[in-house]
Amino acid sequence: MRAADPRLGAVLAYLPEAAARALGRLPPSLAQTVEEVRLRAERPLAVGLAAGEPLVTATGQVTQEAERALTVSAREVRDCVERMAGFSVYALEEEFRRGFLTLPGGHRVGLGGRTRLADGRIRTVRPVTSLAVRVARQVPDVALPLAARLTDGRGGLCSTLLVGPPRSGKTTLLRDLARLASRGVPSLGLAGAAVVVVDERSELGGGLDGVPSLDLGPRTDLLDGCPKADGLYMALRSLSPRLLVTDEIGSAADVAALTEAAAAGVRVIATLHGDSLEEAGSRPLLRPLLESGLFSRWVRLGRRPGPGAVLEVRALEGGRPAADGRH
Amino acid sequence: MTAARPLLAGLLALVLGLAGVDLGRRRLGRTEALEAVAAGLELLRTEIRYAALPLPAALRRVAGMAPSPASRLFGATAEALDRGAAGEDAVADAMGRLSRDLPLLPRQRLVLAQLGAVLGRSDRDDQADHLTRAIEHLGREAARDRPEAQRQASLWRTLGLLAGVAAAILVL
Repeated sequence: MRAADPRLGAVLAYLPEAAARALGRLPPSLAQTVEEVRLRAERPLAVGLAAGEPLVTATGQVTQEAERALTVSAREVRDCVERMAGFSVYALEEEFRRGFLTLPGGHRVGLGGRTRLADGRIRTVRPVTSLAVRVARQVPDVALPLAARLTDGRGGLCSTLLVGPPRSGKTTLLRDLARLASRGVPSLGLAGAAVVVVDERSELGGGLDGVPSLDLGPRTDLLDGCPKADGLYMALRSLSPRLLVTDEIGSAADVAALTEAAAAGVRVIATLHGDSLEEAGSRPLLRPLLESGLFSRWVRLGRRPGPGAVLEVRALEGGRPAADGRH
Repeated sequence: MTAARPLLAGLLALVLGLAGVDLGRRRLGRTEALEAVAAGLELLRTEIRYAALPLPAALRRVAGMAPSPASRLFGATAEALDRGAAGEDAVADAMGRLSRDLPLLPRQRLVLAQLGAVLGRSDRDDQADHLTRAIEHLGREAARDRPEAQRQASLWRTLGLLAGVAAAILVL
C-alpha cells in the first residue's frame, strides 16, 4: 500500500492490510503531518498529529466518532508485531523487555500489553495489544536557525541540552544538529567535526545492521543500539569525538558518563523530557548534571505552532541561566 | 526369435527387480526424512538459542547444513518468510511445495504445522522448548517407523526379485 508521504509509506508495509489501506487513503496534506500511528487491539485506528489524535475510517477519513472508525483486531496487532520483529521475537528479547522496537528507517514502535516479570523486573511484553508507531522524519536543515544560536565562535557548537515534552521534535532537531556539526556550515563559521552519535533506540540514525539509513553527516560515527552510558564511555575511549550526541538522558549512569565526557573536553548535545529547565533541575537525578556546568546552552522546545518549535534558547552558567541569559 | 526371448526375460527380471528396490528405498525414505528433519531442527535450535539469528537467516543457515530433504524444507520455509508469510503459513507453504520429496504421514506433518504456529513468536527459552518437543516427537516417529520400514523395504525388494524371476520364466 502506498501513501502520499514516503515516510508514512515505509511504515504501512508492516501494518495490517485494512489499516494500511485506510492510511494510504489519507489526504496528502494530512499524511505528511502524521507523527504516530496507533494500533490498539479491538479499538479504533488512530493517528497522532500535532493537533491531537483523530480516529481513521476504513476509507481514510479522520473522525472523532469511534463507531465510524476502522477497528483493529487483536489478531491483527499480534501479526503486525511479528512482522515488525521479522518473525523473530526471540532475536529481539532486549527490545521487548524495554518495550519498543525500531523499524528500518528509524521508526520507533512502542509496545503496550501484558508485561511478564522475572525477579521483579520486566522480562517481556506478551501479548502485545497496542502499538505506537512513531514516524521518523528527516527534515534537512530544520536545525539551521537553531545551530546559528548555538555556535561557540570557535568553529563548533556549544554543549546543549534540548528540553521538551514528548513529540516536540527533539529527536528531529538533534539528528539535524549532528548532521550540521559533522558536515560543517561555513556560513555560520561551523567547521565540520568528528561526531559520535550514541543511538540507543536506533531512532537518530535509523541504523540497519549498524549503517545509518538517515543522514547524520560525513564525519559521524554511529553507535547503534548501544546503551547510552556504555556508548558514551566507548566513544570517549576509542572514537575521539569533538561532539557527542545522544537522546533522552535520564539515568544515573547517563549522568555519570556525560560528566566524564565534559571532563575530557568533549562537547555534548543531548535531549531531555521536560517542560522547563527549572522542572528538569528539580529532579534529584538531573540536578548534579545541570549544576556541573556541562551544558552552556539550554533550548526549550514546544509543540506549537508545530513540532520542533524553539520556544527559548538560553545561555547557562553553572547550570543556571546566565545574567543576560537569552541567546 | 529364440535369441530375443532370453533377452526379454533378462530385461523383465532386471526391471521388476529394480522396481522392487526402488519401492523399498522409497519406503525407507520416510524414516530418513523424519531423521533429517529432526536433525535440521536440532541445528535450528542451536541457531536460535545461541546465535539469536533472525528466523529467515537461521533457516537459510540450517538449509545449508541439514541433510536432504530437510534442507529443501528449511530453505523453502525461509523463502516463504521472505515473501511476508507468517511462521505457520510459511511452514505449510513449504510442506505443500515439497509434498513429493517429503513423504510424511499426516500426523507427522501436523507436528511441523504446530511448530510453525509458534516458530519465532516467543523468547529463546520458549522457542528451544518448542523445538525440543518437536525433535523428540519426530525422533519417536522415526524410531517407531524404522523397523516396519526396513521390513517393508525388504519385502518390496524380494517381491520385485520374485516377480522378475516369475516373469522371466513365463517368457522363457
